[in-house]
Amino acid sequence: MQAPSWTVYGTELDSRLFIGTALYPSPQIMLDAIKASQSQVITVSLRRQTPSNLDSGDKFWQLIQSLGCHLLPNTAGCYSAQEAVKTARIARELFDTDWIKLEVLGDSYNLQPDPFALVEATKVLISEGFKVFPYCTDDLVLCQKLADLGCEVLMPWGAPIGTGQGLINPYALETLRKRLPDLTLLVDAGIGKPSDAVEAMELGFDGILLNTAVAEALDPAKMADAFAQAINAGRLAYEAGVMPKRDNAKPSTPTLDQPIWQQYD
Amino acid sequence: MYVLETTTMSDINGQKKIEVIVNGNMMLLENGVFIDDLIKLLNIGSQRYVVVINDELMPKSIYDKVELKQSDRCDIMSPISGG
Repeated sequence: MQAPSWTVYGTELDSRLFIGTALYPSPQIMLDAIKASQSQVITVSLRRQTPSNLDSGDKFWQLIQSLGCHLLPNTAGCYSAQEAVKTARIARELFDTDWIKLEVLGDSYNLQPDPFALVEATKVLISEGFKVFPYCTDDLVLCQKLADLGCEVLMPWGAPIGTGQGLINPYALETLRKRLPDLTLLVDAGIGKPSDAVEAMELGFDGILLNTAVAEALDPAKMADAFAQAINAGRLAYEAGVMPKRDNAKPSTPTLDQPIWQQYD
Repeated sequence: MYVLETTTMSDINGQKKIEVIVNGNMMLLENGVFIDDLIKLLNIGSQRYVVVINDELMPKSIYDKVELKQSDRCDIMSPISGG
């Protein structure tokens, strides 16, 4: 069974997996993995051309065009609001989309988003008509501020980028879901294996954005397929309603009229 | 790589040539060159790119109107992979 479609900034999507285009062993493996993921949204970035490889950007452009996916450009590597805003404007012109994955980093050790600069940049970009997808921490107050500014989508981290640690603070993520029930929430970063993605989806997250877990798998296409199935399963489980945990055991087979009745302490 | 000719101060002082930094590399250009001309010179017209001059994004509609000046920093931005 396929989980029902959903909408992101007015765009209807079937897949709840956003996938990155970086770190794959080869362009062909990237294509195979993205196809296997069934993702309809891929993340991309921009850099200035290098003299030694003037057409590499164009080759990459042709490849991603062949996939027919929605593009979500990022502002990766920006450490100030001004830098991120400038990069977003360039991305809009280059990729012809007003979607922007807004990354403003505050620390180079764990690539933690700078919440203050993130709010500052979000304010400017929303006033310029961008559809902002902020990569943020799981701080509830920050997320509320971003929502107040007009973000329809938030992308809190599960763990620092590229670590594969899974959901370090499930309580914080669950709280976000409870306190922001109408917002579209994706876990972005830190997902290492399909069960991490299932956990986030069972908490009620709307989707997952990941890259390294697929690109650095021994078989990226197979791992992408595994994530696609896991994310769908997690969503179905959330919609079906997970049973509450109990402290005491409760037999699943009826005990009434059991042929041999034994009393245990 | 991008340097078309050896730079000489007399060329620059005589305003025959200008020095422009293109993607971090110095390039010697004729005076009176527009963004459009630079794109033709680099032979990237058919590619996906945008031009940023001195950190300011240049809309494509004005490529034939913006003349490059001495010491301009010109960055040609291209798509790359990202997470």
